[in-house]
Amino acid sequence: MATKDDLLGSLGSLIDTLRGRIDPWLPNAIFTRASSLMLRAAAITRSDAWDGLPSNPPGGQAVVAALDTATRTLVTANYENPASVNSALNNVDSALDRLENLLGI
Amino acid sequence: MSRQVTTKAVAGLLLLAGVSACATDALRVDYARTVAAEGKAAAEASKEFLHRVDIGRREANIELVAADPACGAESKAKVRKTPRIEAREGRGWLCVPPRWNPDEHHEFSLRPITPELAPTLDLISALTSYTEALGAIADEKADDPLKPLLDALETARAAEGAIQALRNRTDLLVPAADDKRIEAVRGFVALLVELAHERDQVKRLRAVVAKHPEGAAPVIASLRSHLRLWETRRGADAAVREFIVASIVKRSVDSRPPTSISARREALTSYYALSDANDASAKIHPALDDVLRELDKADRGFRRVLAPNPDLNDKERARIAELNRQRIVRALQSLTALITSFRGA
Repeated sequence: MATKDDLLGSLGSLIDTLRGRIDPWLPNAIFTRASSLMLRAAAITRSDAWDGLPSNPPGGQAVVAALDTATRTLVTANYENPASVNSALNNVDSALDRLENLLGI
Repeated sequence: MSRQVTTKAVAGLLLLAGVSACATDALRVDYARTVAAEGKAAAEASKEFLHRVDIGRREANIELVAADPACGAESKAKVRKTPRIEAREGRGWLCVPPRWNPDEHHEFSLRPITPELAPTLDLISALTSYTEALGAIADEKADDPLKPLLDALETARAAEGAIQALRNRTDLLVPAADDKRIEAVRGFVALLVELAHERDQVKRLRAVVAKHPEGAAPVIASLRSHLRLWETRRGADAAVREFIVASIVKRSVDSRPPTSISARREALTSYYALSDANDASAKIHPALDDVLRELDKADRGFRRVLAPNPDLNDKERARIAELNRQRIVRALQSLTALITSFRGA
């Protein structure tokens, strides 16, 4: 069962990976989309909802798995190929949806 | 063998038996000292980390407002969910200005987070109270056991000197300051006092532990959790800052008409420097978490050996055996010195 700390760890890894992948030389559309997801992740970290989250939140394991998959596909994506990058960003989008659901935000 | 020497030999054998039993106390005090030292280091490192988190948030806020004045119009910056990277205007590309159509946005408070860090700092204080209490006991020195006796001898010698001068006598009744019997007694008594002091320290360490039945474990677990959340927020603030600076590079390169050479140089220099700094900062929290994990282990080990008949591991048994060996050697040396100095008395 995933803990609150596991969720934070996986979210932190995703944000750090996004940070490392967003550079000024990405095509504008991809840069904008990646930045938008990064700002969304940042807003999630600032939410007060974390204070009320139990140590072992139900459904946490699936969210951790989604965040980790998103991080992995960001790392392995081919950044010369927009379709590959967009597919990785789709995983990020869906992982953040699940996390927001879990936190109730 | 004279009666006095026989008495002293028996006392010596009893002393040796006591030495063996007390080496575990020395280990206990040693472990308490380790917990105190590691606790102090962990507290300092945690406070420094939180300070960096505080600064990191302020730096992200500064970058928001510097990049787009619309971000600084209110205490909560309305950061666009989809920034307008290609917008030509300097205002409104990153944040929604007041009285504009409120496009989808996140609200990022520009106020410092210092008050929000207080509960975590309270946890650090609680940890410090516990480890400092252990340290204060473990680091105490035993009083010099012979000081009152030596002060009395000094007084007696001075008095005798005055009497001799009046009666014109030269033979001494009070031992001279360098009399080897005094040194031998000092060595013997010092060892006894050290053993008794350790026993007393262990009693007081047990009293501290009785007041904190679970030791530092709950506080450390809670602190690690708090710090994990702050690290995630710190990382997000660093990412926001880096994204803004990357956007500025993009906007300065794509700008029509082009921005100045110095503006482009400054933008790209800032981007590289910030990226490197963020990579380095990401290593701090894992190192801090390791320190806290080690502290937890040290505290659990201390509580284990503090028990009356502790379950010792091989390393601990070897350490006790070595302490015993050192103390037995010292006890034998003290005893020999004692017997030798009083021989013929």
